[in-house]
Amino acid sequence: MPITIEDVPGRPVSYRMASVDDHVGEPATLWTDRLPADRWGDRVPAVRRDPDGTRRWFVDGEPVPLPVQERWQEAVDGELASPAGRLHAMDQQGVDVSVLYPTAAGPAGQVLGRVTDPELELACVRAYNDWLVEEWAAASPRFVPLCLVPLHPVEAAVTELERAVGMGHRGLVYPALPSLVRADAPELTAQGHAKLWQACAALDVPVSFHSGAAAEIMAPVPGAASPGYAAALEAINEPVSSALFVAHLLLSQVLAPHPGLKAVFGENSLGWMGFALETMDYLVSVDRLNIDTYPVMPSEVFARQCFCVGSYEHLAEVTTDAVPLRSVLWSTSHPGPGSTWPDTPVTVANALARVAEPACRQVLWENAAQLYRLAEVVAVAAPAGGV
Amino acid sequence: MLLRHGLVSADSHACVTPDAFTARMSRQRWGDRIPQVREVEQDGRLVERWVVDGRVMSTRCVVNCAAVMGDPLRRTFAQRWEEVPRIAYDPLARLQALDSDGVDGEVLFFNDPLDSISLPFLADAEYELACVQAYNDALAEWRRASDHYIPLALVPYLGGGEAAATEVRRAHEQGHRGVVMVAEPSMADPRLPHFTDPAWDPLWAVCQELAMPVNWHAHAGIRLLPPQWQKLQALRRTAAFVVQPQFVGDFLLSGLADRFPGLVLVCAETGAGWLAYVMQSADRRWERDQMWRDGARTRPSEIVHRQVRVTFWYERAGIGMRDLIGVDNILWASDYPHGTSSYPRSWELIDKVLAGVGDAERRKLLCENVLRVYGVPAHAAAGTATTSG
Repeated sequence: MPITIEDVPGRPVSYRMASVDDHVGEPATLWTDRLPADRWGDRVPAVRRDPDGTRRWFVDGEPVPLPVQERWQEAVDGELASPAGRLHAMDQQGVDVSVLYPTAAGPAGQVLGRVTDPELELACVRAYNDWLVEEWAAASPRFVPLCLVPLHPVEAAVTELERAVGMGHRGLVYPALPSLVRADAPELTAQGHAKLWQACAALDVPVSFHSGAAAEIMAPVPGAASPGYAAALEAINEPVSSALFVAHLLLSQVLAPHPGLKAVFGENSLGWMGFALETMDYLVSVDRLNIDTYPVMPSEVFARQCFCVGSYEHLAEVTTDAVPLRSVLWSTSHPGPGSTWPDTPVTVANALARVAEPACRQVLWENAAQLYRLAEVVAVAAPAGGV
Repeated sequence: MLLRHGLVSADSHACVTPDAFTARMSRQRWGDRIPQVREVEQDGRLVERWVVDGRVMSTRCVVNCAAVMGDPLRRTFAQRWEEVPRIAYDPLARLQALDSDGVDGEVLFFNDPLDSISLPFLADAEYELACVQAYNDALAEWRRASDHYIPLALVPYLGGGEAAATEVRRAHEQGHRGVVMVAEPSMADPRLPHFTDPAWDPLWAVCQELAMPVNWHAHAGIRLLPPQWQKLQALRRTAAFVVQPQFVGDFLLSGLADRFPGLVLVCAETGAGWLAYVMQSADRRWERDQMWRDGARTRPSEIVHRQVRVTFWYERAGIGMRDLIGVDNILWASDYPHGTSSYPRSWELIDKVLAGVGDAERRKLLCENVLRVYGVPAHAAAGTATTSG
């Protein structure tokens, strides 16, 4: 059933929407239910109380400092915690398909990467991947699961990726700065990672590098800021902080040798990307520092292999030569601090004002449909009337 | 300023001469701490470098002027002062070079021994003030040499807001038309208050009163690139251009811009397009969280139009977003004489970047905006189509 944004005056919208960057809330017992306590004891990820009474995730025995924890916790505890509740919210928001990222495991999966014991890390990652398929993807084809893999060694990552994709996962969530997650984790530029990128390309699943996973590349919040003000600054700065690792991926030529590898920059926003790409090209070509070593311009690699994700910016103004429509995906960022929920229909209508209908359809649905093979989802879901 | 071409750069780099500090600071008082050009050994050969407070400031060159070293690949850097062309450091020779490139004038940021990321004077307040005053005096000579230069002063940080304000007033009398600052003083030095802390209010008050814009340049003193990525030069340089957007949200939402509605912030050498993201993102938060209840009275995008300006040189993205950003808020820049400079073919690049932009908007982007932002009176030379000022 095509969505209709009936309550937006003058703008009936008659195409589907895939929200490519939503976050699922892991229940407090996800890992304790699935990992043997007699083997791992208190190292299993679990929610406990701090001495001051704050509820907090503990992973491998250590407290996890998640950004704006309270707000995310609401989503975990509330009606959005269940697939049925989430589907209801999606219906209200005009969202047909929701691509699911973690919350407690970190928006880029970086939290489980902190586990230093490779067996425990693998067990935690597998538990998450199993749970997401069993509890969410199995509940409705409108949920598109993305898997996690261990950061090290790459052979274990490839094996888990293949297993997860085999059970229904359609993409990989990976931290853009692994060595900041865990000191011994290899950088994206490390030779060994090539095997993981080859596996993604061979399995035809994109790798997602989500924003906000590394405090080191973000402006620190002023010490005197209230929690609300800090959350506001983080919501503005997290997406644009991705510029550093987007530049790293393109200038270090992580993606270029694997033309079949697709990369999604989750929750990175749109407006700054054109300048960042033009800067890379300009430095490479005009200010000729490295041109000899760039057979393909950074912007060409972006256009060929990368996607950025908008949710409220004015599409007509922020797409550029360097950021064409085919590189743009859309999301509600549900239920994170930057989410358009519960005003998605109005927000989308405003963002797409003065954009021709084919372009709207391309950005809200077709690009994602191709990337995540959603035609299969629709084919499965349509008889049940779910989509 | 007499305009022959209708083109003024909002971001260029003056090169002060080796005697800039030694001729102005007391040798008896400061001895070898005085910033100076000195012969040093590097990789087994003798080169000349700026040395400040005993520290060698660059491993690359004595002065960064890669665009005028005669190397089209811009990989050649001056290793000794005698290699530095006069069109980098001699104000009048430089004006002739600019004229040959069709450029009328320049807003002058620093060059060696300063750069966008290191703050070499931050030892103690007295030393810092002596260095800052020497620099500001040296750069003011450029304005005395020609009104085609629009110099920007350094501010001393360690003496507090009042001392900074006093130096800004002094610099203004000498002809400076703006100040260069780090985006976030407390990140540059933990002794310093945060940018929005009322301790700086005397500084913002005098900048507002004298219509001296505050200028952030490239890194603006901020390091956010993880150390393990530092080795890739192209990434290091890209990073210089993409961290500043993270500091504009605080300017828009903290209430500072409401306390000083006449304080103008210029973001230089960081392009323009990202401002479209920051203003939409900030508006969204401001509406959603009803931040006007907590002291941010004005909608962030209104503050942008009132108080924030950005620059462009090679970027088409930001020009395409000029309706959002405001065509009055975008200033052309050449980055002369640094490696990314459009010199000596500035108009070629301009015609490419501004393809499809009408004449009235072109005039704003290329010269009217920069002259208005820095309060510089100008008139067109007879026979030129340009109007401004």
